[in-house]
Amino acid sequence: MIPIPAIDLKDGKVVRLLRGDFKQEKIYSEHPDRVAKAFAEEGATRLHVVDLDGALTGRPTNQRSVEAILEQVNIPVELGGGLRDLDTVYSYFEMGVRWAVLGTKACLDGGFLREALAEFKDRLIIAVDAKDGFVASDGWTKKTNLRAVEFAKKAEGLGAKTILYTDIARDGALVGPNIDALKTMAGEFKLDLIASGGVGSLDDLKKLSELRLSNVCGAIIGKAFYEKKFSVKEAIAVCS
Amino acid sequence: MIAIVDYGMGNLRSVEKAFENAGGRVCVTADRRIVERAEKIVLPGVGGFAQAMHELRSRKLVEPISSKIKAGTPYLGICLGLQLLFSQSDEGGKTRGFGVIPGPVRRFTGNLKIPHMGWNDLTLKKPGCPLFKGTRKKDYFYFVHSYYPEPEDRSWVATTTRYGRSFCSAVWKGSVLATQFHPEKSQEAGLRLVRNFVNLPALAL
Repeated sequence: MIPIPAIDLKDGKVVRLLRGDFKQEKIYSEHPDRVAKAFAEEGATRLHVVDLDGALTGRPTNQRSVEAILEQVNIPVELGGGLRDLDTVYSYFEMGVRWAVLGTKACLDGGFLREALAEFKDRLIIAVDAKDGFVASDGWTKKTNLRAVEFAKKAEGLGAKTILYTDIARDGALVGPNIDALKTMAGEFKLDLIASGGVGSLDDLKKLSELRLSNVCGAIIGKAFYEKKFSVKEAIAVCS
Repeated sequence: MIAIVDYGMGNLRSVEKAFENAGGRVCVTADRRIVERAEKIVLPGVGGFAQAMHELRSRKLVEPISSKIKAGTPYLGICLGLQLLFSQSDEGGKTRGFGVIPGPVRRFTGNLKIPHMGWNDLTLKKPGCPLFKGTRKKDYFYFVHSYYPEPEDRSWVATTTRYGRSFCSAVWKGSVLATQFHPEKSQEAGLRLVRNFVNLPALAL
């Protein structure tokens, strides 16, 4: 398992939201590229970048910031937010993004999910953003009637290799990850899992790592880094 | 059988579909043994040159593809599959490619929107290229790329396209054919190219 620092972009700035609430944002930097560079210099081996405006509106909005980040770092970047058609995914891959994170469109449109996975295979990460066990869409502003586990199963059946599992109630709340849900997911699926939401302390991360869930390959860490609860170096030490 | 090589860089189902529509017998594969047996090879792909070479190496596909090209097996490179034919790319600090075509792959510079994305036309530079049989002056093709090839030996240049500057948008010599644009996303004009490739004789031209 590796720690994956998150850079969430809104209006070109690095922000954190509380439980995905766009009204509860805190701005951490006006220079996403510098933030990315700092994470890379501290030893991060992968970055998780989210275009929050894109997630909300369905159209890529922070491409300039993404470009600036890609210019600054050599470590692979996964990107989500506003990827609702294959051409947009193509353009991000051509910009240098390594993995594309699909959420809203993938859960609302089974045909799109199938087509996207057939086109890009391993380069897609399917985001299962769970609120009370159900998938949320459109920048987490809408709740669907699709069960998180069912959606993950469907994605796995269509050939998804990696699932990003986010517990929305914990995101940005620093209350610890949803260990039970992760155990269930890890037990039920063979595909790789990236855990997201709630890591607030080095202890949280340690607990996650000590579960030794072999298919949990990464943990997204956002606010805990920005609030300096621990460093990337410490996170890597705990994870390995 | 035509092998469409899956080396982890995507651009697979759309290419497979286009070849099926053109009547080709295709197999999307990452298996080197299938690549070795293929009558023709298609290398699609989108994204970074360095990553692509890394993925090809880790699947032990560099050698079999190189040998097939040398043996005169018809090869169609699409987008990354064109760029990888070149000796090196500026991306990721001078990564080496297959080296079939001497010259670098360079990033667009200046005040251009990158990637170059959308429809654009071609100027045919080399008469008789089997891929462009039937291509008309007013045909448009779909591009999405941030880098372009610069063959040192200009006799490789099959077509050029303008985006800020004129660049080489397709190459051809013998049985090696490759396009910077995506024929599979270029509607009827693109399908014609795919059909032309499917209809090529299986051995060296």
